[in-house]
Amino acid sequence: MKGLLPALRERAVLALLVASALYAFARVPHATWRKRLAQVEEQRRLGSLGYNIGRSWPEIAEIVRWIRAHTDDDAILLWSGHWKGPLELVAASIGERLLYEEALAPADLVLRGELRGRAIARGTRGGARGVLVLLADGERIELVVRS
Amino acid sequence: MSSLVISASCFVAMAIYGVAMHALWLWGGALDGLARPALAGCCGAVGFALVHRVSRRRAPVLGPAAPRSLQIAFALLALAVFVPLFWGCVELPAREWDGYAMWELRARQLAGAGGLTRPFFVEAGVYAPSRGYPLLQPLLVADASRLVGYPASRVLYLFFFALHLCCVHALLATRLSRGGALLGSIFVMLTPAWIGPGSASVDSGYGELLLSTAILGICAGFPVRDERDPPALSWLAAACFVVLPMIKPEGSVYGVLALLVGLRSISARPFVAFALALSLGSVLASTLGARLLFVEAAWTDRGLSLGLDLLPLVLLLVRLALGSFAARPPAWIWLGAIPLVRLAFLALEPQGLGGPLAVVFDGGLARAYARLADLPGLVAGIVGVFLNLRSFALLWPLLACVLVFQRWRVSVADRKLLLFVAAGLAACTVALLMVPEADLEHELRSRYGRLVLHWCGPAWIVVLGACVTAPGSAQVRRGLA
Repeated sequence: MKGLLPALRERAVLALLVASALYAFARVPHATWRKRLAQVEEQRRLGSLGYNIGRSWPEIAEIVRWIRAHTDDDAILLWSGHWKGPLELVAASIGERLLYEEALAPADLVLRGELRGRAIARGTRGGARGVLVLLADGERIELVVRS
Repeated sequence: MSSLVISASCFVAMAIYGVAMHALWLWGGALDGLARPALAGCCGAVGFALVHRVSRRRAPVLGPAAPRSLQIAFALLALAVFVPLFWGCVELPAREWDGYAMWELRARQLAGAGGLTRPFFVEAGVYAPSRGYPLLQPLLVADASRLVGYPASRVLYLFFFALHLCCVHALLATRLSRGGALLGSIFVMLTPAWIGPGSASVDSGYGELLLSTAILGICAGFPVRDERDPPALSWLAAACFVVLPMIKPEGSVYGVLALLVGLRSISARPFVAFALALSLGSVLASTLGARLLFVEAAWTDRGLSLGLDLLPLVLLLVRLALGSFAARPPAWIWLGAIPLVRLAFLALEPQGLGGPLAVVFDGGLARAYARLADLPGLVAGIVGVFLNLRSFALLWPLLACVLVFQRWRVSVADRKLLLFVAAGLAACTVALLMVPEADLEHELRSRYGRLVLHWCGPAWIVVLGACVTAPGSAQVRRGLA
């Protein structure tokens, strides 16, 4: 009986080792290949913006598309509100444009429409024309115009 | 060239480059065009030359080569794993949240002309999430981008994974036969969380892989007990101590834990080198992080930051008090003054805190206390993470099994390694309790799993080492030794 226990223990460890390796190996075709290829396919279909933002927040993806189409490539876009949430994804989706906290932007420079040598994004939305500001509350984002 | 020499060379090169770039950034300089990749290349050449030179003096003793069948199996498996990862790197520009919104956004900004002097980094008003986060990985990806463009530069993550496996092989080769080391590398290569499609996987753009690789490199410092060990082991560990704080904020904490665990077991000279290396990396990373934060910190916060930077120096003094040098202490021990330079920085600059760790510490104790009210649910959640087969396969049950069945009889070096893993996991658990996020379930699912992933490599080394070295494990031993 004394000799049996260590042998059983060894076998148990060995069995766990083999089971772990087999399980991990068995996941390769599904998790490493199939799921990844499905992600590639989905990203090709939706584009980077649609994939990273559009699946969860289609309305925010629409706002980003509008910003890309209607503002300079290196424009400064003012934002206000809560920093967390989808705003993080927006910042990574607008190319060379930068988000600038409205409260920290000097008012005279905003009036002049230029900040650190870059144009502050302006546009016309819903009939109003003025400085574009993204309002974020951690869950949703809204693009408003300050005249 | 052995896996040890390759691993040590890569990390020594990374450490030299990281120190050079942090010094340049703190000085206010920038390298445009191909100057930065060229500097990285030069650091690579210096790293390889240095490690090659020291390892020629005393090369690691390696047994006969692994069986051909095992080599072929490894090659085929590597092919099966690396091909989809390559596909993911070049076809899926950073698909997971942190990879997309934080890591690679900063890499893309660093790749542009001006690097760290761009408005994204130097304008306080510009929205830049995780502003004070360490920059070594984005820097390396940015350099690759300047050479081959983005997203092709993401192939660098495959290099990190190869380096990870190289470190595992190097560490296992000091314990097992070369066949056993190769088999162990297969176990680690198949870790589901690395090669799966989720966050923190190899091609996700997260910093977990590089951090975990540096942790493995630090583990090379634990067997360093006397002059007979290959010097490349100490070089690998020392270089990893430098780069750890430059990869992720928790790197500084992990480094201090490693020094604490090795306080008595690592011989004096390597210990001095490790403590100074950690001090150097920590001071450079936290000073740069503080400068990027633009936040006027209270003195209590500055004290926290300084405390973390000074800890390696305190441990160094304790180590010197505990053990004596055979000869007089080396002249470069005066490099211990590095944290004092940090003190001067803190006194001169209004910005203070070394960044993201403040989020955890600020009010963290109260949050931890409140969360302990639901202890059973918390424990169940934590156990659930360790038993998540889709992330870790059976690694953690296996480690528990090995320890219980073999009555904790692991070798002295692996006992230290085990202690390091335990301390690291404990630190991660404490951090989980202290984070400000309200949704603890989400934190358990996403963040805690990633923190546990940092320790998979060292845990595999303990498991495989214990299988061989513990008495009464003849059957397993026959397979690996």
